[in-house]
Amino acid sequence: MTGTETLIREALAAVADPQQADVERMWHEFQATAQATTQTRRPHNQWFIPLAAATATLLVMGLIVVGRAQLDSGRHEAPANPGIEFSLDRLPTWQNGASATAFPLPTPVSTPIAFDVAALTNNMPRPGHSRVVVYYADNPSRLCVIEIFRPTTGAEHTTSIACEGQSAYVNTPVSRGFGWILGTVPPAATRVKVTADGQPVNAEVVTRTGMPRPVFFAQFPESNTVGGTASVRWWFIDAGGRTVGEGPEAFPTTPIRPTNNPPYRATPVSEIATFDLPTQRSDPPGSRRILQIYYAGSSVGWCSKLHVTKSGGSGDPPTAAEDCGATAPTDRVIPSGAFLPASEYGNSFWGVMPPGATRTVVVVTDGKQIPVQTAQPTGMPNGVYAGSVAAGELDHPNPMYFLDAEGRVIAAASWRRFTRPPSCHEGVCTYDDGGQ
Amino acid sequence: MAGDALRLDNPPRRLTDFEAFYRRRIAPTVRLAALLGCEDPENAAQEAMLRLHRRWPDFATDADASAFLRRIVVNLSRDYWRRSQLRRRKPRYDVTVTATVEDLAVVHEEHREVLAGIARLSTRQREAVILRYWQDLAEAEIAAAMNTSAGSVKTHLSRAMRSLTQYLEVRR
Repeated sequence: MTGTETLIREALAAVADPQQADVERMWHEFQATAQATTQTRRPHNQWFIPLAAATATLLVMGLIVVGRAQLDSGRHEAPANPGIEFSLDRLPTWQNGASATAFPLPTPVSTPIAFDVAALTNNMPRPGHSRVVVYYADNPSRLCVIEIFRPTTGAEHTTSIACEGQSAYVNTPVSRGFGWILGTVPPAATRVKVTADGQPVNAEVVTRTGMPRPVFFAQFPESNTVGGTASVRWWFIDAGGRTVGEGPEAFPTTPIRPTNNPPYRATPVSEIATFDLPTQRSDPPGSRRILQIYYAGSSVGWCSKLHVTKSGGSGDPPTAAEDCGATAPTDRVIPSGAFLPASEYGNSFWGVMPPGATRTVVVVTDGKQIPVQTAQPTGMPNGVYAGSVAAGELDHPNPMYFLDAEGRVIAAASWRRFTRPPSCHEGVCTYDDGGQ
Repeated sequence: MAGDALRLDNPPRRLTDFEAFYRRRIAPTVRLAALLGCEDPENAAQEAMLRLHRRWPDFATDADASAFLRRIVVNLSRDYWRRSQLRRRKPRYDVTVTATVEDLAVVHEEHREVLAGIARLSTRQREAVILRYWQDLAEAEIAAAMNTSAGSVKTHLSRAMRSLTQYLEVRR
C-alpha cells in the first residue's frame, strides 16, 4: 500500500460521524416511517392485480369483438356443425385477479369457438358446466384452449388456459379436460369418429375464420369422464368416407395432471391443512405465503388455496393470489409416478402422500434435502405435504421419498422438471430426456 | 434419505432478520452518506433502509442486501448533488477530535489535506475512492455500487490517485 493510500484510509477513518448515529432512536423512527409508508403506499400487487384483471378482460372483450366482426363478415361460411358461438353473453368473467394474472391470454389470430360441456357431477363438487374456448394464437399453428367453469349459482370463472407447447395440459394435437377432448384434424378430414371405452361419443369438426386447420371436439358420457382415464380412440374421415388418420390406441391410463384442474373454491369435506411457506421473490415485501389444502370429495379430490398476505395482523385480507387447484403454472413439471406434486405455484409445491406415509423427503441434486411440511387433518384420506424451493433447485431429476412413522421408505418417485416442452404427436408426448 | 437433517418446519425467512441488519448497518450507512457528501446523511441512510426494506425478501444474503444498500446511498448522493443548487460546492469533511489537538495536530493537518484533495475529485472518482479505501470493497463490488463496470472503476481510481498525489505534493 502506498503512502497516499494509507493517508486516504486514515483520513477517511478520521472523518467525524456526523450524528454519532443513535441507532435506537433511528430504528424507532424507521419503524414509524416504514409503517406509514406501508399504509399510504399501495403494494404494487394491489395495483397490478386489478390492472391485470382489467387488461385480461379487455383482451377477452377485444377477442370477442374481433371474433364477432369476423363472424359477421363470414356468416356465409355456415359450417355444417358450427359449435357454439362465443358471444358477448358468454363473456367469461374473471372471478379474481389471481385468475387473470395466472392465465395470460395469448393474442388470437383466429375467431374463437366455444363448446359447452354439460354438467358433470362426477367431477364437479358444485352443479354447473364448463365452456371450452379454442382458438389459434400468435401464429397460425398454435392452438390455445381456455376452460371456463360456470356454476349453477355464482359467477363463472376461468379454470385453465393453455396453448400448444406451453403446458402438459395441452397435448398436440389433442387437449383434454374433465369430460372432453379436442384437437386439430388433418387437412382432408371433414368429420371425426370418437369412441370412449369402445362406445361412440358425440364429436364434431368445426372451423372458423383464421384457422388453418379445423378442430374437433368430443364430449364423453359422464361414466367416462373421471380424470380422462377412458380409453379413447378417434378416426379422421374425409368427404369420401375414407379414414385419413386415427388417434392413439388409448389415452395414458394415468392422467398427466390428475388434479390439475379441479373446480375453483370447491367445498371442503375435510379439515383444512394450513402451511406457512417461505415467501417468494414475487411476493410483496412483508407478506406471508400461506397454503391451504383440503379434500373436496368425489373425484375432484384435493384442492389448494394459496394466500399471500401482508404481515401485521391476522385480520389482514389476502393481497395476492388465491387459488384452488387451477394454479396452472405447471409447465414442464411432469410427474413420473404416483403421489407427485399435484400443484405448483411459483416455487411452492404440494401433493398427496401415499397411504401410511407420514413424511416426505425431496432431495435436490447436490444431496441437500428440501424442507417439506406434512399434515393429515381429520377427513383427509391421505396426508398432504407442501414446501418451497429456491429458483433452480428442482431443475434436475429429484428423488422424492415417502416415509412411514418408523422412517421406512414406503414409496419413491422422481420429480422431473423438463427444460423443453414435450414434443407430441397423435397424443403421445416425448420429453427431452427421451421418456414418454 | 430420511436423515435427521430433515426439518418439517421451514427455516425462518430473512425478513425477521431485518432489524438486526438495520442495527448493524445503519451507522456505517450514515457514515457512507456523509462521506459521499449528502447534506443530511441520516435522512439519506433512512431512505436507503426504507428502500431496502421494501425489497428485503429478494435478498438471499447479507452481502446482497449490503450491496443493494450501498448502491442506493450512492444514487441518493448523486441525486442530491444533481438537484442541489450548490452543486458546484464540494463536500465538507470534519475531522474527528479523538485526542488532544496538540498531539495529533500534524496528523490531522495531513488528514485535512487529504480530505480536501478528495473533495476536489470528480463525483465518480470520489465515490470510487471512498468505497475502495473506506469500505475496503473490491473493484467488482465498487462497480456494482456505482452501477458501472470494473474497468471504469479502475480508471476512476487510477485518475483519483494521480490527482490526489499531485495535489498533496504541491501542498508539501
